Amino acid sequence: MPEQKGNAEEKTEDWIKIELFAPAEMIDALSNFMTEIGSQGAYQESLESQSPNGFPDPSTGETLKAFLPVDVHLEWRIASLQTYLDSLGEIFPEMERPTFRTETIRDPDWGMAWKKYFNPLRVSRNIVIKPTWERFTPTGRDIVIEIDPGMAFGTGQHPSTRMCLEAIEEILLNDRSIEKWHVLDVGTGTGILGIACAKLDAKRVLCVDIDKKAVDIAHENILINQVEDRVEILDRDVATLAEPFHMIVANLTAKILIRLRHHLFRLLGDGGYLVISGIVEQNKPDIETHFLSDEFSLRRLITEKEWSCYVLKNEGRRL
Amino acid sequence: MAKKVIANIKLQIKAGKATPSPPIGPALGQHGVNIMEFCKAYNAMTQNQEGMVIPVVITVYADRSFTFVTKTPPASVLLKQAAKIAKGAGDPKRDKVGTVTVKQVKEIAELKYNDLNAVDVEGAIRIVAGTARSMGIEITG
Repeated sequence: MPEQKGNAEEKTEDWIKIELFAPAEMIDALSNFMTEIGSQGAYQESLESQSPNGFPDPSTGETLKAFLPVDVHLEWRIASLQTYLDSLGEIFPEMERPTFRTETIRDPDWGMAWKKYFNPLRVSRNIVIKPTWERFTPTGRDIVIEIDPGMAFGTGQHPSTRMCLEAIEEILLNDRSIEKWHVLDVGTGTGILGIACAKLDAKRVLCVDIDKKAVDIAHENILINQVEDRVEILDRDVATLAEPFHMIVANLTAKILIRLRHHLFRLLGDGGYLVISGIVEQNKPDIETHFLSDEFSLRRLITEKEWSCYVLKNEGRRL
Repeated sequence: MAKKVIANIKLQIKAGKATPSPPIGPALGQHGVNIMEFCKAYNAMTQNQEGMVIPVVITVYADRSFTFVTKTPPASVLLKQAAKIAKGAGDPKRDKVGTVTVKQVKEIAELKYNDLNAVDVEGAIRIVAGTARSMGIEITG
């Protein structure tokens, strides 16, 4: 197999795409059956709105799509599906018999199609995110971050990332009490937040992610942005870290943030900032219960749509 | 002016477990949706229901931005819970794997009424009962 060059890409795998044609009344049970024989889910699509919730009336036939991996169980799975459809045909003789067709999908490129819609994006006063394959001419104090996201999270298109960028920009440009910033980016994804810190003159940035694919992608992006002298990327759990940081940024989910909170508190030096994002409206009370205290005060709350980003400061009143 | 819709996609996937693998990758990728951004948003929204199948209807616009709404678990999943079984029958005509009561079917139908496109609750009950039969679950009482 040829060695991968350049961008870290998702490992290619073969899949069998299964298209099921059935009366609407059978779709739920069929979707359930596909999950039970090894599909990670199923979907229906409509290219234009046909009913109040976008799907056809139950009297018409529908198409359900699912995918099975090409492996040793495939033959058994397809045979099971045929048995199941025959059985449904017998139970509901008055309805059209459900059928299916299969198609082998080799070297899927479904992760790439959206790239042509990923354009340079100004995410804050000074920061512009630019896909590696696009052109952009910076002006004035523009800080340009080049990202090839592969299949990792963090393109600046999502509110949770944009709000983090806004928060770290404000902290790093305005707080002059710290001369040589040491920053930790937890769950770095594409590396976008860590790279932004380096471009905002942080002295040392450590990016960690437990997803090996994300680590490879972040490494590529660190090289593309020529910040490898200041940014280190490690395939590590935050629990294994020991050095203190002036700022920790973690764009995760509320559940993971709460699980990791003691490590985040432990690694943040007195007077340091904790920027947490990826929090939806319904989880704000839980976040506030677990993160706000005498020791950690709320410096800023940024919100966009249903998303929130908290900027907390360690007031150094550790008991 | 309202943005132009190019597709509606209804996905049946597990709460908190969205990844770019099929079916999410192909379902969204072909329409130019940033798959990882969707996975992040869906997982954040559904993290408290992990383990359940939480259907999601995604609207994709011409500029490839998207919005989505999550739904209640599918009737098939609720039926398995009510019957206390892990799986439906592989040959539901011949194999019966569990039972639910008429009352349970009615409760599920009422919960799923808005998602089922039924004209009334009676219609929703018929659809849920049909799903139960399709899974080898008998209705008693």
